[in-house]
Amino acid sequence: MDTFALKVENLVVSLGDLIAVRGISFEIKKGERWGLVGESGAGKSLTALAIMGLLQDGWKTSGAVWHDGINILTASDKKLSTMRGRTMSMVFQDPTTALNPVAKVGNQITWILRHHMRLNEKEAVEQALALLNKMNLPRPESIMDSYPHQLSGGQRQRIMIAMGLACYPELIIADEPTTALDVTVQKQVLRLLDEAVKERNCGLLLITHDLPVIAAMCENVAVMYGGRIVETGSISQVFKNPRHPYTKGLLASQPTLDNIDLEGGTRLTSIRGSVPPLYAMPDGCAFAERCDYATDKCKELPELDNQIQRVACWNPIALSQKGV
Amino acid sequence: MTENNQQPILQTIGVCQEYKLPRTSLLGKPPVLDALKEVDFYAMEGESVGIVGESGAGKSTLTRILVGMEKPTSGIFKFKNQDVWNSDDDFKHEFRRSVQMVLQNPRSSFDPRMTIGQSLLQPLKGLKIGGNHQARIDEVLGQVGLGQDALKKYPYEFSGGQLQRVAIARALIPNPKVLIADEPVSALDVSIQAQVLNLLNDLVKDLNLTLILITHDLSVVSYVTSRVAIMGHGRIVETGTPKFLFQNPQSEITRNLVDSVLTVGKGIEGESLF
Repeated sequence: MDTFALKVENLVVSLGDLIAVRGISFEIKKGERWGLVGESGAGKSLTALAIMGLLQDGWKTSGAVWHDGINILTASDKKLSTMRGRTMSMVFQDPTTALNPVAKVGNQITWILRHHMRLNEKEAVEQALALLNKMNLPRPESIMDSYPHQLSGGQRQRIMIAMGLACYPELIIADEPTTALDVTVQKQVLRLLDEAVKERNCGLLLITHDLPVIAAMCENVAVMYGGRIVETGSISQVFKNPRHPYTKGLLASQPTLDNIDLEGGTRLTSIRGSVPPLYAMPDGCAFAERCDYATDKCKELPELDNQIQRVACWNPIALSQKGV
Repeated sequence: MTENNQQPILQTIGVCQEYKLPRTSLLGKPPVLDALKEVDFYAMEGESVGIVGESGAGKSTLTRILVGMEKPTSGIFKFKNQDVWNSDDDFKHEFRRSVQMVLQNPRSSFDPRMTIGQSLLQPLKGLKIGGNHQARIDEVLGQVGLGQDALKKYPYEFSGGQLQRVAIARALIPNPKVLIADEPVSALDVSIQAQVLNLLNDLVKDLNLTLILITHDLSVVSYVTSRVAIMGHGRIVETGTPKFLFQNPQSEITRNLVDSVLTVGKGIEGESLF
């Protein structure tokens, strides 16, 4: 088996004339954690759905998504269903809508185990209990016997993670796993995901708009804007010395508790304007009209350069002197 | 607290709010949920106050009481030092006009079949405000940084951040004294959040508004408000300046909230990454 959990090559996702993902490439090794950051409309969720082979009818793809030696974009539904939940699994944003509301939680976990791992009823229940225990859920027996609506959001998301981990996948895709949760629960859920990924040495693709979450969880990051990756590199490179003006702007507009001398009425740095809609995406750099560094050159499309910290920008910010 | 010569513009004294839950047995009384337990809250004129708490802490119930959408089960709710629920209709009308609200999700707070122009007329009609309506709408649109071309558009034609600006404009139309914003930026993208928070800050200063900002995000609140009330289990557990609360959290609830704030460059346990 290859050492890659996932290899995305020039992935394009489109619906009619609308191109949502415009050719992105990245590789995730086993045990590696990748973050995909972007605002709404950047194409991050469609990327995830394309990787899982879950795009709805009408969406067209080109390029390739390699996982386990197969190109997911061309694989048959039958083949895909043997892989989803087995070698790759997904944790969705909203556990309320992702769990089956009319089935008990225990059954939903044991179904996966029995289907993919060919366990018998008793073994599956034992495994499921062990998983719930690992997720720090109190009284796993009674949780197994509950319906999703009887549990809290944090509990449901832990069950989603448990289901995702059940069959020791090589790749977990987590799409905004903590956005729907309370802030105080967020950390617990992230900690569990972190431990689980570490313990099982599986690849993680974490998709979120939340920069601190990515920074805390991942090793590498790709920043998406307008359907393209505009900057990619290791967390410490990209978040410490952003080269793309958009990354810099995102980091600056993040409210933090660090400059806590604030007494209210403080201005935050903001990026002017808003993301161009899909039908009006410019031919050149999609960020140009919001960018302080934009020049005439930006009417042409920049490609990712070949530095270690890759950036797609005609006027990238120079790395600061103390940078690596 | 600092301005002792001023009266609070909004104040709750010992406010409790109970909700009846569905009956669990045929004979017994239905169980009661104490959403608010003896909450004392005030906001001075021109002050920006934050209300922070987890979901289920009672933030939304307190908000509904502060805008007069619900009558508290017990306790007194005062506007300009007068009991709102024991006042004449004229005073109630003044109260409704003076206290306006911005909701979390602008997408669901506009009628999709109305143009923005029509939506912005509603508060003027509903509150029976005279004068030149069109001039007032134009003025407010300018204040939130939108052009006249917005009036003919429908909500779906706006991005989330732009629509939140329209929602703020709609709240400003009756010329309120108090603006209550319930999670105004949590549905917005990071780069847009900053724009909207800056706009709120500017409006508070320019129009001398009292702002009550309800949020679960401590880092957001520190940029906008000078005093924060932390809520938990239906009570206000702590109040103070953001700085003081974050540096010396006294209660478990505050400490949990402070601990749960993630910062770029820090790991999950708060260790420095680079």
